[in-house]
Amino acid sequence: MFPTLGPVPTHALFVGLGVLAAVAVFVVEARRRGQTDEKVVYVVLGALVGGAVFMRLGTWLQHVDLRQNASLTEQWLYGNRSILGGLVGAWLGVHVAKRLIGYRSRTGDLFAPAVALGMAVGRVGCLFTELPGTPTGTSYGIRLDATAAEQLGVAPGIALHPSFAYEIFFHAAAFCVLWFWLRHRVTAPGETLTFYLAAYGVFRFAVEFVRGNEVVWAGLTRPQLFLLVTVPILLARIAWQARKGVFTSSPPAPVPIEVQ
Amino acid sequence: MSFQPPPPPPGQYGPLPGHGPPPKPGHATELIVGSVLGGGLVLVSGFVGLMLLNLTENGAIFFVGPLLGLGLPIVLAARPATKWWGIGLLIGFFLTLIVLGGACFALITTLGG
Repeated sequence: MFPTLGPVPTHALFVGLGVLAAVAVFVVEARRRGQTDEKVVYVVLGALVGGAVFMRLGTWLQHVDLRQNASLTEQWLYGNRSILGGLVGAWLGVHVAKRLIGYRSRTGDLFAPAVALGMAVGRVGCLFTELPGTPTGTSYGIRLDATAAEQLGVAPGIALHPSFAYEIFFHAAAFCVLWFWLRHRVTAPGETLTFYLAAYGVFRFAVEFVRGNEVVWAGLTRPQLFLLVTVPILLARIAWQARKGVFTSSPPAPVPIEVQ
Repeated sequence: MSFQPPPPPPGQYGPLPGHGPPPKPGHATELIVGSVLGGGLVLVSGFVGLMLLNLTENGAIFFVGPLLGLGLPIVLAARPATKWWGIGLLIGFFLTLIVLGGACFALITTLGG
């Protein structure tokens, strides 16, 4: 259940491989789109800073009574890491970096396929090391042996939803759609990232029902409450952009020139 | 009536071959090597933070280590001559924080004995 490769922990190994895959895709896409400006490096740095900080602090505020939350040091050293927090932090980091260096070009199209492939690979580490999901009656459920069950605090031998496998399939499929189809079709710069994040938000909201995270309010987990706020914003943006006609591939109508 | 000189013949537009601005050198070496070194910087500065943490009960003292570790790449990035080394170190620093996640602390304590 917990394979290791030398001193590198399984989870970190696959996250590292995911990062390498994401970097490769980002570089290829940046060259294809001709966005090889040196300033793009600063934008990437902004994404990394925001992602690294928010993925650690994104799960910090869990209780309304602040005294019940862990201290910042405890959260930094021992706290959970959050993919959703990391994505929000990376998004914020990109925007702050672009504002600081005065970079105006959209970069979402560079990040979208890179993040999708990176997540598909990185989630393999989660599949090997984290609680797979809630109990299921399906035949493809994951059954933990005694050692793994004891580490994760669940009963051994019970079939559990492979929720991380669902995510791996989602991100792999999203990468294929982005890489082989959508990036050649969407005419609005940067909007493929909006599509990808909105789709992931909807998918993640659904998969949370079998993830096994703590239910905190109205039958919903913390990620679901977060997504309940953020996904409608993304969908509203897509609807607004579509209404403006930015996704139509036909060229704009020629403007008549008045000849005197 | 104004006189306009005839346009130059085709092929004479733009800088002459060999007389244009030299191509900008890439920064891949600085970025890649710097990233690797930045990864090591996370472990070293985290170890320093844990050593400080053992000296006092104030948990916030831990962050002194990583902040000291960040000082070097920030100084390098601020100087034009070493800018790309600094950027590379910063990329490696934050990339390692993402990759190692919760394993960072475990790895530091293991390496520190």
